[in-house]
Amino acid sequence: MKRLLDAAFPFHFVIDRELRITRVGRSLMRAANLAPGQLVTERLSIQRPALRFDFDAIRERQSLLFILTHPARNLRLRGQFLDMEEEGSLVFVGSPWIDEPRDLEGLGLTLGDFAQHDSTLDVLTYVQAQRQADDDVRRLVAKLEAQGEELRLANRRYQENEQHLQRLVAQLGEAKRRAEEATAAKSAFLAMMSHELRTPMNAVIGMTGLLLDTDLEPTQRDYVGMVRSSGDALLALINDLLDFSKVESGKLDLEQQSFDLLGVVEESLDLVAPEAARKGLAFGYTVDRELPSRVTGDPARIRQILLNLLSNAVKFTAVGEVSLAVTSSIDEVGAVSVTATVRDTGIGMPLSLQGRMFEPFTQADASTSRRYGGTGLGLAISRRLARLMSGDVTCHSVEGKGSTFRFTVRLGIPAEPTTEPAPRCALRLLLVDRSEPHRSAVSSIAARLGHEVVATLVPEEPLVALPEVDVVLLGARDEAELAGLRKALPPTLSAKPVVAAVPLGSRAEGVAHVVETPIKRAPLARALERASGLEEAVPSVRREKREGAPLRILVAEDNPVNQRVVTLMLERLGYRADLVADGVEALEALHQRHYDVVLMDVQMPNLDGLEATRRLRREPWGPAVRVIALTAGALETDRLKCIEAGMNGVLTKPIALEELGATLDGTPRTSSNTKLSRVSVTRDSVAGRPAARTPPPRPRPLLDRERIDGMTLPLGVLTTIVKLFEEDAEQRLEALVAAWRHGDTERVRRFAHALAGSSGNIGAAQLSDLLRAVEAAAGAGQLATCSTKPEELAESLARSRGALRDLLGELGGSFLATDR
Amino acid sequence: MYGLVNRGLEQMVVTARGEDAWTRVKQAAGVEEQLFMTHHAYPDAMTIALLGATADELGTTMEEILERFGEHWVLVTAKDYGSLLDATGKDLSEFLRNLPNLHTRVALSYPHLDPPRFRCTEVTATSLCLHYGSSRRGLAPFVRGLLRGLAMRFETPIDIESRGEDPATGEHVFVVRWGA
Repeated sequence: MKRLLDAAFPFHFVIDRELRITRVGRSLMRAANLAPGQLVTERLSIQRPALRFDFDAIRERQSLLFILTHPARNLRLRGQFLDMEEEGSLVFVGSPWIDEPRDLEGLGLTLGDFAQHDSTLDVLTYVQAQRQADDDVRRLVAKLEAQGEELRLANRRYQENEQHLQRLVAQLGEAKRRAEEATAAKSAFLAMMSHELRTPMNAVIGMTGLLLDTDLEPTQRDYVGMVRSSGDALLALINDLLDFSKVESGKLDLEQQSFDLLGVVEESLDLVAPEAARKGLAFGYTVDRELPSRVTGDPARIRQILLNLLSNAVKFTAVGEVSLAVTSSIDEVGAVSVTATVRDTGIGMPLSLQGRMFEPFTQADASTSRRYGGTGLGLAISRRLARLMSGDVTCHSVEGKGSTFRFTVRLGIPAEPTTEPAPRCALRLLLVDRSEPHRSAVSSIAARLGHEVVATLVPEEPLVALPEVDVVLLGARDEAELAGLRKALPPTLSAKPVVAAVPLGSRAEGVAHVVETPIKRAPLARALERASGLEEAVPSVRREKREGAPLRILVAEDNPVNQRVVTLMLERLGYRADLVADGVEALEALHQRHYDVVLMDVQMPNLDGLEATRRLRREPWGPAVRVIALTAGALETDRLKCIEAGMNGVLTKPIALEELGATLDGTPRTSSNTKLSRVSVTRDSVAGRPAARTPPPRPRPLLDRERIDGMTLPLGVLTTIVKLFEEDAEQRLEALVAAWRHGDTERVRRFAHALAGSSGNIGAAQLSDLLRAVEAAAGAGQLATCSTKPEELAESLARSRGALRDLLGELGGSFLATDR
Repeated sequence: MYGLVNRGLEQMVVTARGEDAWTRVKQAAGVEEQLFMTHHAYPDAMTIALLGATADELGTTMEEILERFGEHWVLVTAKDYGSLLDATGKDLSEFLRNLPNLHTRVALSYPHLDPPRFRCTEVTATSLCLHYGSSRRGLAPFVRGLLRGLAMRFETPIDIESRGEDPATGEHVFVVRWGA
């Protein structure tokens, strides 16, 4: 029993009636230092219930839970008293009340001191586990607080950043506003400066032009020529700078119009061809047969880039060749990507320069600028323009070998049909040419015109059986080669019509139909039709550089590209012109100097062409000046607006070289009076100028003697010219009348325009006026109601011929002597 | 396993290599928990993955890591239960003999605990046979580490002989000798 009690309750003790301890459990003995024989009251006291150690009192309350304390050992025992009646004693069974695991150590207790059923240790384990849980919560709270603090910090930083950002946005806005103000100020400054710079420059250039027209010693002419070319160069630089700044500032508005891309290519070639021919360079081009006839984009800017690349190539090539290859591909969204590759065999450039080539003001070195001229802005402008058009300009060059510039551009395709107009008759052509690229180019152009190159012949190669052909096309680099090709033609072909294609400036002795290379569509079409008898031949008169008594031409055009184009065209036609950029400058120039003709752009800043013309016409000398409108507006209403403003004619952009030539041919030259004598020139005193706002013009005499006298030509030359005029006028008039009868208004207008020009030139004033009236009516589509009739034209021509012959007789010449 | 185990491993890695190493271990193990709750039961696979990643981080084997973790468990992690451990035994022998009761009592406070089973046989004054059984495989090296940790705790050099797994009971048997 005793052992069982000790095992089950190692913290028990037994007391007798005197409260003396008789037995103690093994664990309590050690923990409370109790021993049998001791009075329990010496060691323990009762905390609960509220009674003192009293044997009977305890026995009566043995059903209660007792809490005993041992103050000296800081020990509390929980348990109950049981009455051991047979022994006359009470036994306390319980265990220590420990709520702090550390107290185990203080009491010197181990797991073995507790009965297995005693939950004290389990409670302590649970308490420890709870403390760990509390620790977890504290760690979690600490972590959350730390994260909360981080969030607060992040939030504060975010708010600070946001405030900073708002300040930056405000500063940026302010900076943008200032930049815009500065840009506006810069633009205004540039506009003002360009005006201020160009006005005196125009005066310098204009005056030197006049000076060059006077009698000068050779040295003086050289000096003045240098002044003029330096002035031209300075003006070009100013215009390039303005153009560049416009591109850089993003203020460039690109046109989106339908245009003939191949036409732009041909015009560009046409403008550079004379210089290439002068230098003796082989100058050719090929065009992808798939190139669409019409595309949508900005023709002026594309021409500007092509001109820049081509003129650079010619400029930097002393011997060899310059070629242009145009290819195209249509992408999946229906846009066309065009690549123009310009190759030359020129001086090339070092690798180190190729990377900087497209930076503004970059040339190979200072000597390049001195030797070759140029502003160093052309390529920079070209690349920026190309990139604005979703393309690029790139370069590959080998120093001493040549350069290849590749210009790409992405263009739209208009909804309108893009087929070339069909020829009146498809011709079968035999092409005789040693150059494969030429053969390829000609085949491509002929195909576009609806003709077919059915065979090619290379003189050095064995003759093969030839199919039936309509026209033989001979391609030669010079007159000698042409003669060789003709000689080498098989007898079966010698009777065939022949067209010769030779470089500009080369003679084509013995060949009636000649086209210049690089071959363009229109001249080739005409030559083929004439050669094949489809169109009546007209005398092929090569334009020569005009010498002496030149026209005084003023070009008023704000677009530097168009300025360049018109200037080049005029040079090509043998003219020299002064340039101004708006109506104000035009009027200033006209106040300072006399001009025979103004090529006036209609839309210009500051003062447009229409208003400038109206103001010009109000000047006492104003009506004497012939004003030709340059306009992009192709509508009849555009033309009428120009005529109503007092302009004498209209050229529609893009301007065709031939049309410009014909228009200027119809402009009488005034006397080469270099003094500022316009004040003495009245409108009435200048015959042949349709006066503004005063239609109909005053009828002029049959012949304009003043005009004829002003030509101051030797009698022999005058006689020849009159003869040529007669032949030409007769043919053209016949063609005009035929077109009139067939209701072909456009051909009537063209023939009338051309014939009016040549009539005016020869002094057949009445005929010229009648033809101008026909031209105007045809242009307005009012041919039916035209007051001039075909018979009047024939009659006037006959009378003019008679009068001219009479005049020649008066002058002492014998027309008959030179007649056939 | 309870978060207590994962926390113990975290303590060990952070003590050895710092916080960044523990972040790398968690990343390698694919564990996103920011902290482990002691009384929360986590999947065993997570603990095994953490142990594997710790071995990689410390450049050692899984077995070595388990043994080191066993030592660390006794010497560091279980310190939270220091008084109870103290009460488990005044010396190595008493402690080992009380191990079964200790785990039984702890199981009262951790209802989802799947504690290991221990029993002692062949107890002499200088040796005993410790039989270790568990529903988890491969943790015998951890028990070897526990024994080393206890030897250090009681400053009692010991010799551990592993007799391997008893095929009859599936228990791993260690013979522990001291005081030789």
